[in-house]
Amino acid sequence: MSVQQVLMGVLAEGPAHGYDLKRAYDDRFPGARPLAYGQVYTALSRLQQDGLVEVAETSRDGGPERTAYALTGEGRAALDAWLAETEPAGGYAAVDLVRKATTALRLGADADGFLHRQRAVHLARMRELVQQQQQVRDAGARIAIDHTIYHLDADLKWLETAAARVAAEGTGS
Amino acid sequence: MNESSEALIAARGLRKAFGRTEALRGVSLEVAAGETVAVTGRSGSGKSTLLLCLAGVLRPEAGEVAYGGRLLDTLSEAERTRLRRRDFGLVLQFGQLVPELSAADNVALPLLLDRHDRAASHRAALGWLERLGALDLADATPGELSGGEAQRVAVARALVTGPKVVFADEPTGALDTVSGDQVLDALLSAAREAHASVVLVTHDNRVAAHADREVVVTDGRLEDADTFAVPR
Repeated sequence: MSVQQVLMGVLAEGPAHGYDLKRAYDDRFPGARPLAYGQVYTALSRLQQDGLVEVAETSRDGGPERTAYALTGEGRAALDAWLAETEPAGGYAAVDLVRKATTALRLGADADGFLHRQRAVHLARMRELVQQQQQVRDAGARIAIDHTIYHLDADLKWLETAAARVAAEGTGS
Repeated sequence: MNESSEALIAARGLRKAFGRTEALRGVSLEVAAGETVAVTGRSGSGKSTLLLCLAGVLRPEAGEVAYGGRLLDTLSEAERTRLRRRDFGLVLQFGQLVPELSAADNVALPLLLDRHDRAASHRAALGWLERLGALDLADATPGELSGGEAQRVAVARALVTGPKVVFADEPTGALDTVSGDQVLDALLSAAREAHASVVLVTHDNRVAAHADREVVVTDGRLEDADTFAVPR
């Protein structure tokens, strides 16, 4: 999971509190689901264990204790290595769509109906993202949204092709 | 036209064939003032034919198109020409600029054809080029422009008459994503400000997602994409 690396990337710009890390993550990936605080602290404790992140400062200004984290030298090296390596192609969760449609076809259920409804859901999401993208001026946020949009578009093309195949060839049974 | 009193364009039962190929097989569609409607579908589905019928460029064999409550069929050829020139703007995939004219003269062309004053037409053209971020291209000829630049000029030309409807057929189809997005943003924001309707033919889901509504043409018939959300 690359959440850890993204948080390390935020810390590479300077020490930050858990709350700041969550905010920075959510700002960088406006098209994705917001990061839960639990995920932030799980990632931080894991990174601390591995010696990639350390506590920079603990303060208590009348309120609860606040901890600022910083990237270690080792952490910076690990981050650089991650940045330099490619990711495997694929592994996108859209496989769930394929599983459902295939199962529906096998069971003689309404695969065509599912494909059409799913297309509408995808289109609605794409419309939201396009609107969101028009309001964002930061190139980093725009390319993050582009990534989500292009994956949706690939799913949409697949949904359209699948619907056409189901219509032309039936269930194949 | 009582049902369509709010529709700027109302088409009913459009049929159009080319030889033995039926491009449209009974299409009805309404477009409200200020609305952007994406017309999508596979290549050869009839979406461009639909656009050209709505724009009064092609005459359907059956069915009717009303614009502002008036049937296009009842207009004389001169009236249709005037309508296309003043109320409609057209943007095609490859700009279709006149190669011998500068970008500014290309933009001014619809006004000049409509016998507007030359200096005023030129000023209007420069104004539109500026709005589309293309003022520095004013003196360039189409041969000197990139695809994205040429499309900006084509968009300016389509908007220069202050049209009520812009018909765009794959306006970004020949462009890379970034220039395509810039042209599309320019077109749609200008249309929105002018409260003009846009009929946008595209095969690209990303482009269609910019519209208020999408309709899908399949084998010459229309299915409303938004009805897909209703379980069948």
